[in-house]
Amino acid sequence: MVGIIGMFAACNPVNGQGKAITMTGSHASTDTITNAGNCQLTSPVLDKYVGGHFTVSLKVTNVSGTSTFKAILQGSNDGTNWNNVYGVVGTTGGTCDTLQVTSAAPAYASWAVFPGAVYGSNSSYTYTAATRYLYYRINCVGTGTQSTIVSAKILPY
Amino acid sequence: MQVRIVKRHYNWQSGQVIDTTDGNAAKLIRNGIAEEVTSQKANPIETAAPITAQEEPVKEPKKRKKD
Repeated sequence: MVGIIGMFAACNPVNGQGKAITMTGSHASTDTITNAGNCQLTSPVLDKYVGGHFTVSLKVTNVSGTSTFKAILQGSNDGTNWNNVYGVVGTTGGTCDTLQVTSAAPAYASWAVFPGAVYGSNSSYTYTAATRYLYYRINCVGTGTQSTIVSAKILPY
Repeated sequence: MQVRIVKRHYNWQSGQVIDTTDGNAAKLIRNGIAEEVTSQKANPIETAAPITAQEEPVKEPKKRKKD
């Protein structure tokens, strides 16, 4: 009986009570990548979230052309000087700083930020240089010909 | 034991924040150490049993002793 309860109990998705904070670009909640240009979606100062646990969620919307760009998760303590959060090289996002978006895929992506130098899921762990920052941003660097709207939320917990 | 959030997601369609909480086999990342979480309160969705009003027995008025 206990085992059956345990199977149902592991990792329950529930409606969270936390809030999603909009990361702002050139517009209140979005920015647009034009061709090989770049843009940034930046969080407000997050000094009151001392736990330093965040999920950064990115949404990609193709307007025209081929939406191909790199999305790089960065952190800053002054809003001016930026570092890559994990310090891990790669292009898959999630467990590294850079996500390669090709032809608007993936349309949605997220990074989990944990202070204490680790990114983790239930079954695998990748040790990183992640620490707590006061600001986070997604730096989008485009290639080719495109008009792509990007938007992002940051979720403290 | 308090239920801990191990992942938080944003549902762009609904605008809802979705939490994944710990379970018996889940692990919590804290200060770079993966901890086994053994939660006694395994299911955060489960709610306490509904409280039903309990009827108090009607007290009969004491009979006054006849003088």
